[in-house]
Amino acid sequence: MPDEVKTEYKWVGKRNPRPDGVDKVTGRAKYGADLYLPGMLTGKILRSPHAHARIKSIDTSAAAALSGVKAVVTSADFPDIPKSPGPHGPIIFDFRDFSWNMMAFDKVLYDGHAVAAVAATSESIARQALKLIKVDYEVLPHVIDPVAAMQPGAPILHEDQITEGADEKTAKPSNVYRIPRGEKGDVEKGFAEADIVLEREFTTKAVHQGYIEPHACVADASDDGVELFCTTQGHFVFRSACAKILDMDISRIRVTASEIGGGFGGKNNVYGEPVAIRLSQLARRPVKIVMSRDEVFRATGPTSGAHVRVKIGARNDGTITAAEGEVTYQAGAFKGASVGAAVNCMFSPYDLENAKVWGYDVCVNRPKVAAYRAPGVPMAAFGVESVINELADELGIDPVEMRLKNAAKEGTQNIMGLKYGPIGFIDILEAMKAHPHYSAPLGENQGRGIAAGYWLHAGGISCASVNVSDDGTVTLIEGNPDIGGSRASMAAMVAEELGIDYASVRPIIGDTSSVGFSHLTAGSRVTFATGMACVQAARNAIKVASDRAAKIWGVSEDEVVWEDGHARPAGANVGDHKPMSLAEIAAKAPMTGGPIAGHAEINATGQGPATGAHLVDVEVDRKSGYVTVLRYTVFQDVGRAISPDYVEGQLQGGAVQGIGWALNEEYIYGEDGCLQNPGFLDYRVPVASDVPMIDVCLIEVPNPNHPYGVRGVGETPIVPPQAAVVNAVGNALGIRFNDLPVSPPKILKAIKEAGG
Amino acid sequence: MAKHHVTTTINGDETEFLCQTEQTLLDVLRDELHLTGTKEGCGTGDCGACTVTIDGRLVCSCLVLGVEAEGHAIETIEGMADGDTLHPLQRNFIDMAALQCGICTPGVLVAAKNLLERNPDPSETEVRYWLAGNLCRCTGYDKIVRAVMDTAAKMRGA
Amino acid sequence: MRVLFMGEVRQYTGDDEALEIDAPNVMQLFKKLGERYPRLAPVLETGFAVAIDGELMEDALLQRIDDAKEIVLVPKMEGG
Repeated sequence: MPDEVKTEYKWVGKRNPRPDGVDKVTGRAKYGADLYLPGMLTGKILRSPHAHARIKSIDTSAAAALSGVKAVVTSADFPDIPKSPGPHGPIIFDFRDFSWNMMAFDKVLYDGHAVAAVAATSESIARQALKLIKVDYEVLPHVIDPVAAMQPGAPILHEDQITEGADEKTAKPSNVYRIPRGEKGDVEKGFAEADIVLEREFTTKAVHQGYIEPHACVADASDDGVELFCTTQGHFVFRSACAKILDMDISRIRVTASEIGGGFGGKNNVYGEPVAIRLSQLARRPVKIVMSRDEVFRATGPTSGAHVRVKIGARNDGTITAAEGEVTYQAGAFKGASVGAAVNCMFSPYDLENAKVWGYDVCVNRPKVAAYRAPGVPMAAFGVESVINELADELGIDPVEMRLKNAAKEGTQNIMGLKYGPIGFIDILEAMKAHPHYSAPLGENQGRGIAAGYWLHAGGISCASVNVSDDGTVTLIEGNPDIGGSRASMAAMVAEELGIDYASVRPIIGDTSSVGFSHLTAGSRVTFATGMACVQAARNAIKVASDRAAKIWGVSEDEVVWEDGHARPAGANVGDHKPMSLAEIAAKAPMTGGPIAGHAEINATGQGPATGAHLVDVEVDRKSGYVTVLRYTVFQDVGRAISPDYVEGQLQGGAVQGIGWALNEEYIYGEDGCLQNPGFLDYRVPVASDVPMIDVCLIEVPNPNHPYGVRGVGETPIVPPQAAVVNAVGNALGIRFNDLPVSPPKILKAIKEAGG
Repeated sequence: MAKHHVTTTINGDETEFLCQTEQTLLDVLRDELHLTGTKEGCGTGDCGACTVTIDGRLVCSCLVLGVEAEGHAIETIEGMADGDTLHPLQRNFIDMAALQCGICTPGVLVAAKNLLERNPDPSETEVRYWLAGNLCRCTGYDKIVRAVMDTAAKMRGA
Repeated sequence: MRVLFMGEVRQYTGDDEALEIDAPNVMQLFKKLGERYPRLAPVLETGFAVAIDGELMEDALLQRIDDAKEIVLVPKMEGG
């Protein structure tokens, strides 16, 4: 709904107090593991010690007989789910995969794959019970690298999987699920026109979202249905998944979202939740399942490690004539790596005549991947931005200038066929060029790197209700778990629409029975899509309130307007009626037809892409290989910052995750296919002393398709950091690095090989 | 095996509880005493989400056994506010957006409070190294560090 | 109007890169495309969004496209 986007608002864009702020600084806020119910049992999951094995038999009898054990389950206790016809799209909701990932069916496919579960009266009894479960495995050869998994003779994970598009009659089982691709123009012609063509290969490792709160849930099943309390990025999506996996009516499950301790995409999917429900059904008592950190690393959803090949041709003046990308992604144990996003986004900051991308979605013996902030794009962008920087070097062109020369702008059509509305990519690059950081002097062993990034965030379905109480205060019910302050933004938009005080609006995240379906808190969609739903609900409430005032005054409905929180007579000949505030109308509401309310169920469309560019200075210690990040500045087109402090926070948080991805984080597997570093000691995320202040430059080019000009902001910040940081390290040392992470041992080895 | 009976002081209140040998102080705080403000992020002392103080000393409560609390004074996040008056750090964390999801916040606040009790005028580097044991995945630490230093200045009356 | 098949859609449409076709809304368009390219039929509604004269619309089966000039089938995106 195109709206005229104003520049000055009363609540939108201001520092409004967060409704959940005090609870979170006092420890009162309830996260997934913080609920305790009378009679509650502790659920624990038995996990495979093998990367790939056939399950010959499971004997749970000794565990079931242990005093204090109230229920035991294996996959035999869950309904069979038929194989669905090859689902398409990056959002692969193959519920058979989810069920078999939640609990192994006939094979275990990764170290940590769930095999059985128990519910017992104490944690220690539950642990003892797990030890009593006897599983007879036939260990099989395993494969963890996607390129290796594509070779003839590689161990096959799924005998019934052929590559999409292959002839069903003749195709052999394959670990490659599908090969998404995109193409524009003619890349061969484009390369022929180039004065210089660079082709480079890159590798990245699997990394984890690293949210500090492990997955946790409490399930309480009765004959009437199930109550589920859990940490989740989408309680409606979880409800559907549980219903599907357990073959239950959706309306029989009510999910309440707890406060959530981080997600970044990793809490888009169910893991222990259907298991807790099933145990609770069998034990007839509430069951709590909380993952340990070890389980989170081994058995939730890291993102793909990748092989990335990038080939870019350019003229001497820096114009890119052709760009080609080939990516090979780990999908983990079940199909569904985010290759499509790489196709859609890796070259999309640029206005290119000729581009071609294809990629392989490959099953390997690792946990099934889940989304991680702009899923599928950071690894591909690492390659693209590194090659652009190298081209700029070769051509003697400033890397920002090179990007400006090829920058996408309003009207650019990308490889997806999407035509951009107004976007701020050029503004961002100009801001970087003009920023004092860009021209600050560098010392010995110091280097500077830049990179850009693009992400198209999601729209989708959201619902909201605005209910006005008799005293004129408002309850806003929406359906998106609040990971980072979104409920405050929703309240601000509703207060703005209604023309009332921000403090008079109380936002609530409703459970699945209290408000209509809302899609995930993911894809940077909440401020955009749920914001739109809240605005629409508020406007509907305004219509009801205005019509009520009209009736009270005895005038026609189109003779009333809403201004500054009041219904006012419109036009001179309406008569002399004193404007009525929302509170005054609400006070009269019980006697004039009932409460004032408005609701909206929408599918938000018209999202605008979010582009960003990062600038970083590093210093490398040649003796230890340690990289100090000296200075970091993030530039991003944020559309309209509804809550500016929190928009800054998203950019800073994403940048630091990217720094970790670039410098230290990686999944390390042994020869046995087992994960060697499933803990925060050896899976090294950035700590406070690793990073400097992260400066942020918010550029606002409003999205005309949203009433407040909103663009998603949360994911784009993780796309540029890897190339920016690695290129900075490279510039500091005069050595190019094409493999992530650029950790101290790698740096020292490279320095030694370069004779330094 | 029979549970142990422990008597201790928590946030100034004399407290008794029963616990098994292997239960950590974190387990006891959460599962026995329902003081759920202290969080488990890793169970191995690497993330700091379970930070409390014992006799004024910062510890990871997941690395302390419940029985070790006997006779000592424990302070958790629940004891930080004074009735309905927030500690200046708590107030400033909200005002300066130093939390997003909030799961690390209790541990960070307990650690930061301890820092300012020992060093009322820390440099940025001192704050960063003091908080290096508290992982945050959402904020990138920027606003956390700013909030701690700003609070230190306010508390000094600077 | 013109319907463009870009990228991975091509594996379902054989050699066709584009099609001239008319339909009042997205649902009717999908029905016609599914009839013409049977292998595309089961994945259209769940897997694809449309860019209508450049503007992205996902899950918008009832969106009217009478006045549209160019439609592109675009794979759906997931976020994190």
